[in-house]
Amino acid sequence: MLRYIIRRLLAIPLLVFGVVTICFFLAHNIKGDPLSSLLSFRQLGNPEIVAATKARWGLDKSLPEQYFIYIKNLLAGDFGTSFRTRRPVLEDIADRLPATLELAIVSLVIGSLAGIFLGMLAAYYRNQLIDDGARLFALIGSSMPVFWSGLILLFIFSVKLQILPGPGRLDPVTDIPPYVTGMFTIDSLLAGDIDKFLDAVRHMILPAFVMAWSMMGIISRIVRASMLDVLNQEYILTARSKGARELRVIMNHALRNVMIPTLTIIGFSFAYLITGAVLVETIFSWPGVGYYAVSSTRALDFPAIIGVTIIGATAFLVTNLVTDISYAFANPKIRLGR
Amino acid sequence: MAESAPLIEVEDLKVVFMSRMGELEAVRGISFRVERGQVFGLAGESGSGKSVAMLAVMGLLPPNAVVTGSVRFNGVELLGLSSRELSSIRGAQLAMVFQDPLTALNPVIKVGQQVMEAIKLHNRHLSRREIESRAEALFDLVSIPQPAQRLKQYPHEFSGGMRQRAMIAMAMANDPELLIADEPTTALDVTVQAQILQVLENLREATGIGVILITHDLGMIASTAHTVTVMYAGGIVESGVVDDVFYGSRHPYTQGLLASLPKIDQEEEKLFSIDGAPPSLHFLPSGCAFHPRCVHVKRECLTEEPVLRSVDKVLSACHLAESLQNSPIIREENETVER
Amino acid sequence: MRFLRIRSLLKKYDHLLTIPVIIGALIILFWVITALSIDLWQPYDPLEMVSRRLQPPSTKHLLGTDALGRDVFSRTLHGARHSIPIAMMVVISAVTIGSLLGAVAGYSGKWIDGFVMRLVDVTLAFPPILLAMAVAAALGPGLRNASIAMVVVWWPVYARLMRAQTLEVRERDHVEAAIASGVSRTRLLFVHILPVCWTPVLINATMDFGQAVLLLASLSFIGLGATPPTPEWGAMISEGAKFFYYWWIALGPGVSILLVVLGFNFIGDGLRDYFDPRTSD
Repeated sequence: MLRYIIRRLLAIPLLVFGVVTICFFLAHNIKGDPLSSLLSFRQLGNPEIVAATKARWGLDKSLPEQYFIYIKNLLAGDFGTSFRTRRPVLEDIADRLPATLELAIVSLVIGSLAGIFLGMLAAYYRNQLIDDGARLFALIGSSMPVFWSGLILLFIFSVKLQILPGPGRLDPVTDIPPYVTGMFTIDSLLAGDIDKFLDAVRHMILPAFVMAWSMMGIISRIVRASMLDVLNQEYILTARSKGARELRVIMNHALRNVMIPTLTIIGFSFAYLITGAVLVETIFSWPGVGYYAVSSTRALDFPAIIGVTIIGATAFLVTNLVTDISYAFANPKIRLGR
Repeated sequence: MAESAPLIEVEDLKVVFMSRMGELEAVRGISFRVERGQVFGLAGESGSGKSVAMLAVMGLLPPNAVVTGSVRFNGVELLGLSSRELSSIRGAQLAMVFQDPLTALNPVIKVGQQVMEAIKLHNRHLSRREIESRAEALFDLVSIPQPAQRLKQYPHEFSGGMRQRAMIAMAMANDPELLIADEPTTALDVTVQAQILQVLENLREATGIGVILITHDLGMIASTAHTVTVMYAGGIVESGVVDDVFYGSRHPYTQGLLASLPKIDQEEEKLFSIDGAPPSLHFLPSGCAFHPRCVHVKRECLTEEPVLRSVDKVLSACHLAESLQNSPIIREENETVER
Repeated sequence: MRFLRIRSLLKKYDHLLTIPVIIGALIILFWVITALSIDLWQPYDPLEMVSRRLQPPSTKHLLGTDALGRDVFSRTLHGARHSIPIAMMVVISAVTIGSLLGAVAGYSGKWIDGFVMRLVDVTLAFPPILLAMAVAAALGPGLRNASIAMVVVWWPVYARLMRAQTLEVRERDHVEAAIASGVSRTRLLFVHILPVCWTPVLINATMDFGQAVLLLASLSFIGLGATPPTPEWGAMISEGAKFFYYWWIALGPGVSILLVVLGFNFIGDGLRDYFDPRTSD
């Protein structure tokens, strides 16, 4: 078990290395002239900036040397400077991370719970109307472009019905709560400001729901299949024969066995979260890393794009590893080394 | 403690499974009774409907099963009870042990927790310490060594025999009056089988519990049961006191089963077995369900379904029961069945 | 006579042709026919300004007009011409490249296997959308570059799939028999191994057609991919976001994407249930 973890841990730096290499080529070489991918058009006209950039990235040197300098800079935390914000990319990302995390965590929780619930419902009422209804709902969520569903729901609930707020994290006139974590919900609670907390929560409802809906498809499908399999097992019969009532049978006996593959799927749904983050943040003007990625792309701000990609890939690798390890822990047969 | 009311009385129990491909009659009207403190053997091959019948008694069949007839347990009619009422009887007065303890125990929950759950479900008022000590006592009852440690382990850490003993402990948790054991030793080694049967026998002597023993192994029935009922293709073909049936069987199927028991001193090289195979419940033969495999078959066997009736000392469902006096299945030299 | 033949054919595929599958097939059929024939029956030219701008839906313009006075309905229907063929082409390319590499890796073992799998692992280390964005941004806007980016993102999945299949099939009798009779490696690959493995690939690819439409729309939405004035669905939704209060602009393309993806998902699900009844009911 320990060996397994170590092996996987060792694989990560190698993969990150590969990621960085690919990004290096994308950033510095595909355009032919690396300068045009490091500096904006306007900056290119400024000889001082050009000289400084050449020095920083070693652009006069040979390709392998450029590569090493690139790696060295990355390790020092220098991911380049964004043209738009004129700030180091790493700082830009760090600033926006809490917003993304806040939304991502809430969406993950809602999406997982709803997906599990729908999957269990579908399995229990298998082949009846509820089954079809639950599956269709989840499927539609996964088939819709997430930036479109956000748009439509915003229109319906914010503009027409006026029961939910518009884009953004808070009402435009409100101040940001005092900085502790950067997550407005937590920060406003810590500051004791209930109104602000509620405002932050209200602003999260639509974007979180839209992101959660896109995840429900795959989660509910796995849960349903797993549940059908589990409900056919003999230990379910044993539980019933002991006198346990249906609810207990499902929650205590069935669910535990269903959780193992389910947690794995949730872990691997991180990809959906990232995709969702990029698109949903844009629609809802949510100032997170995703929005940053999109604005950077639109402006062809390469340091920013590449920076987000590298960080995103690393995070992706780490979450996959965590999921793998959790799976191994959750399954007592693996844990105890049968 | 002899009371005249039977512990459980089943009358004309029928089970029909509804599916997209039509109806399937798994149990075609069976009746029997079990007295207190008795061991009732239910014998038959796979597909005879014995397990389905018992699941119907427990109310554990899937929703597409239609159960009719009457099952009176301690005077209470079980069929038609609400699931809430059934749940309070199951695991308390009426308990069941299943065939394969590896799949019958939840693999991700500790064995101790599963046993304690059985206790807790019907004794909500007990403290955790009390439940734990009861669980340990139960493990002692079924001769599982080091109960305190074993309770904390997972099913896959137990040996096969120990798992089955844990299942029995779980079933005994609330002093049931009737224990249904569905092929309790089939999944186990022969040496372990004897142990399990001994455990059951000890329990019976200690608590006076009634047991329904479902098995295809007639040897087991001979050594443990008081009465035996033989099922074939969803119906009862013979029933009676064990000695009466085994030494004076009045049904060709039972006689065939008895003849196929290997004996240590037999001289034949080939073991006897009944020709053919049990019918698929989708396509039951007309008349007597056993007629295609019966050596004594006559014309009426093909058209009329025989009724279970009293013949000599047993109940038999065979048109020719009277003429089957001690008549074995003919082998090579007209040898009679050994005692 | 022909009627009876069709009847028996339908019966043979009875398990496959469930209601969802038929609905899915009809949806896709509708869009394919639309894409092919739209020129003949479009109400208006999708690229021309034909009326006043930003008009709500009416009998004259079923989905209203957009910010440049173009008929949204015509543009929506035209979108099929871009989204569907490109998505299919991308998936087919990814399947072809991925399957070949995967099969070769699975069959050759050692050196080649290691190399291809490392490449797969690194590519899969990227969150798909970020990789697509990075590649498309580096290559520049345009549908062609977006397609290349998408193929780069998608090929590893099929490489892995094919490799797993190849490893399993390699042990089978008919392959060993072929090797024993001295069949050449290429022939072995194409005639004996690949034809057996196609079922999971087909199922995956069908579902991926829908996902590809989604990814293409997402890329266009961001600004990579379709360039104006191309009536691609994602780009149209992006425009609709800018003109938020004129809800009809984004409605058509969004519903279209939803229908197409649902259609492919239904068919894919149906195929999966058909080929592996264990996973169905």
